[in-house]
Parts: sequence; structure tokens; C-alpha cells
Amino acid sequence: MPPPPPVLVEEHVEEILLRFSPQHPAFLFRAALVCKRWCRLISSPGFRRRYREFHRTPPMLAILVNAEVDSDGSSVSRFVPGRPAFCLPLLESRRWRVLDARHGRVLTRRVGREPAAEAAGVELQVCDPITMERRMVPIPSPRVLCLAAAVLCSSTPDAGACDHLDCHRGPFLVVFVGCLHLDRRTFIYTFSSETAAWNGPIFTQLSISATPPRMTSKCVGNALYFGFPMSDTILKYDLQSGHISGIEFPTECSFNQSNVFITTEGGGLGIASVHHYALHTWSRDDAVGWMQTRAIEIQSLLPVDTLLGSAEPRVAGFADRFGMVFLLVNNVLYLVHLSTYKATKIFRGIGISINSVVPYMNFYTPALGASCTNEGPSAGGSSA
Amino acid sequence: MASEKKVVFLRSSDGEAFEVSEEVISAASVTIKGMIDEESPSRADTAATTTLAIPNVTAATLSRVLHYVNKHFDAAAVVGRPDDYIFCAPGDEHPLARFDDDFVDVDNDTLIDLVHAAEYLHIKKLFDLTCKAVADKLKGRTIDQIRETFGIVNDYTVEEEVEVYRENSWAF
Repeated sequence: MPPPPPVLVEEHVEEILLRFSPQHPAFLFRAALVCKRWCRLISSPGFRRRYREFHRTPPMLAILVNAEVDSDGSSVSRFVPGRPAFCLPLLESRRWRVLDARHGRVLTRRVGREPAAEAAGVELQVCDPITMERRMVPIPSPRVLCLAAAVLCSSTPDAGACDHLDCHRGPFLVVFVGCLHLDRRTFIYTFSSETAAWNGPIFTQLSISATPPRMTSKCVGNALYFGFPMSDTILKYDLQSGHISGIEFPTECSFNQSNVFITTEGGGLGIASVHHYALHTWSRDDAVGWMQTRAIEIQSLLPVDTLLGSAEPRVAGFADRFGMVFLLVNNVLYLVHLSTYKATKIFRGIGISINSVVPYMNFYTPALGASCTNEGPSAGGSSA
Repeated sequence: MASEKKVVFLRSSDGEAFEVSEEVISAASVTIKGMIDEESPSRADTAATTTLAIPNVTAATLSRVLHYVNKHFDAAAVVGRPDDYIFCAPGDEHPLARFDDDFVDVDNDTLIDLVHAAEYLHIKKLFDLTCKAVADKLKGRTIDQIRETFGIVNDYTVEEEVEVYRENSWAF
């Protein structure tokens, strides 16, 4: 007798849906529409948690591109989806420039006129591009200039307290590196979303030229690193002790506009930089200092003739956890894997000149609870 | 050496017996290892080979499972890092990646049978592989095709469906 056709049991449905790639959030949304049972499963907090723990590394949902509009030179930030089949509510702003993105949050700085924000002394905002929630952050003091800033989950200083897989709606910290108009001394303020107040300033003896923020910060363990375009100094801020120290850039990277922090294979601090048409990487060992790990001709990474007539390419950003840098060549962005040196063209600036790129990495799982159940609002508890 | 290797027989639900190395199947299947461990005191001093009944798995599926098991768990055959392969992206050069791709390139019913068997026999790697393969198959299908594949009845009202489409139009 032939066996009966197989039936998919409930537990197997969950196991299968769990293995849908986070790179393609649309597939889970579609699966939720198969039937209400699947929808309830996918929207449940338990699945949401398991999904994140199963995949561990959030996908790069989008890249946030800072650019200048060619016609009038004004600043613009644009949210470019990582996949064609994926689109968050389009974020394009001429008023806000992206400074940093971490743990599912995006930190932006006001560059254009927005009367309401100006009146309230707001210079920074933290937003969640998935829920579109925004939190305005006033500047710590009216006379300070912003040299760099970072956003992070408020549990980051307590190592191991949070796995950052699903904390993007929780409390956050903003670390602000600034100086005064006439005083070259640099200081750090820390903003906590829980107290809605700034702590600080903690002054340093480091002197950093007042230039607009350029390099995205890097978090390694309990330390945040900030780099500055017109400087030979990297600022290291210990989140736990509040201690600030300075590290010198590798000589070749000092005063270079094309530096980004990277994570080395061992999980430590590194730098990727371009000079003389070669992509260089360094890794940092506190005992030894900087060590150059690799240098590769950019010409060998890209299609033939790409560099013809091109200004020197720049490294425009780094995708943490993926070990990929964004290489900017003739206003075209290439994603370069540092392990394989394979380059993929991902975005061309049309009508805009690209300055920098901040990748946005997060999970995006459906929160359709209310649409798939007749059992009241309790089943919709997973709303993102 | 090879001649001293112990073997066990596995009897499928439809009565067919398959020979497999005891060492290999114990490394692969938690369930069968448990069965063998239970049996071992009684057969310690006898040369008789053991036959284990696998009542939930048909001969067709069991032979596929054993093909997989022999490829993945026979220490002599496995090279590279056997535990990491499942996290390799397609195109990564794991020696068994091609084998795995071919292995799950089967019709839907066969694949679901393998999911059941892998779970029953508690072969984690095979369970991961087959669940992933079903997930990959579903990605390319429309909602209606998924319902058809698994005989699922649409229990959304038109209004509810429209609401979900409206709120998540980007996904469709």
C-alpha cells in the first residue's frame, strides 16, 4: 500500500519559517498571509525571539547614504534598500544627516532648517526606521560644536547584558564628542534616553580641529572609538569607566579623508583606508600598535577601466559583522568583502555626490498580530 | 580492521532492512544511538547482529537518510569542518555543499518525508538541511501555491486580507 501523502505538522511549520532568510523580509510577510495560524505563529513574540537567535547576525536592510545635491550643493541623506524587493517607508531628508547607526537605531544630525527643532535646541535625533519612531535630542549646551556622535543600546557598557538582537525599541545612549567655538579642548557628553538628560562634560587634553563629523564611530568591547578627518588622533572612550584617551592613527592614515574603522578578524579595532589607489587595512594591538595587514591595488578589484579618469577612490563606510567596506569610485558605491576582496557594485549617485555611507542592520519580522486573530489585542503583542 | 566493524540493520515501516555501520549511525542519529545503547548489554557476548525497527520511516526515505548519513558521518569520508557547513553560503567551497544541494533537490513530498524522518531519528544536521530546503522552495512560491502545496485553507476574510496587503504593500 502506498504511504499517505505527508502532512506538515505545526512544529515543522515553525522550524521551516525560522529558516527563511532575514535578507528577504518580504517572504515572511507573505507567509503570514497563508493562513491565520501561520500569521499568529510568525507574529508571536516567541517566534520573533527564536528567529533572531537562530540567525544571530542581522541583515543589512539598507544603506544610509549622505550626499550633496549637485544642483544646489545642499545636503541630503537617502535610505537605499539593500534589496529590490524590500522597501521601508522612504527616508529622504535634506534636513538631517546620518551620523551613526547601531543596534537598530539611526542617529542623525540636523543640517537644514527645521524651525520646530531649532526652537527646541534640537540638533540630534535618534530614529527607528522600521517603526518610524523619532526621538529628538537637544544639544548638550548651546555653544558646542559636534565633532562626532554615536548611538548605542544603553546596556552596552555592561558587557553581556544585552545581545542587541531585538533592543531597538529600548533605552539608548548618545555619546557626543564636541568642542567650544573658541576653545580647542575636546569633551564628551553622554545622553541617556531614560533620564532624557546629558551627563558631562568630561574634558580631554586632546585638541581636534572643528570639522563636520565624517567617520562613523566604532564600538569594540566597552570602548567607543571616534576618528576625525583633519586629525592624527583617534579618541577612545571607555563606556564603563568614562576614561578618555588618544591613539594615533597609522602615519599613512593621518589627515586622510578616506579612513573607516573596521573589525579585524580577531574582533579588534582596525582601519581601512585608500591611498595611492590601493586599499590598505591595519589592525590594532594595544601592546604593539598598528600593524598593516594588507594592501591591494584597487584596480585589481574592479572591472577593467573603472578607474580611468577617476579621482582617487575613497572608503566611504564599513559594514560591521560582514567585514565589508564601501568603496566610492566616481560616485559609484562598491561593496568589497575584506576576506575575499570580491567587489559588487551596489549604488550609483545620480544627481547627488555621495559623501559617506552608514549601513543599517536589523531584523525585520512581521507584526501583523491584529490582522490575523479574532482573539483580541493580546495576540498582537509583537508589534515592531 | 574494516571487517571488525560492527553493523546494525534498520527495518523500515514497510519491512525492508538496511545495513549500516553502528559507529556511523550512532554518530548521526541520537534516536538510534539510544536504541543501540539499550540493546548492548544483552548482545555484549553474542556475535548476532542487531535489527532495529524504525516504524515511522518508509524504505524509500530510510535509504535516502542512510545515503546522507554515510556521506556526512563516516569519519573516513568526511573532510573539512563538518559542523560548519550548514552556515556556508551557496557557492562556498564546502566539500559536501554540492552533495547537499543535490540531496534536497527532490519533490515536495519526499522532502517533507525527510523532515519527518530527520526529526524522528534526531539527526540535527539533516533536519536543518531539509527544513532549510523547504524554506527555500517556499520563497519562490505565491501565497496560493504555498496553500496548495500543504493543503491549507485560507481562513482570512477579504477585509482582513486587504488590510494586510494595504499595510505591507512593499512585500507583495
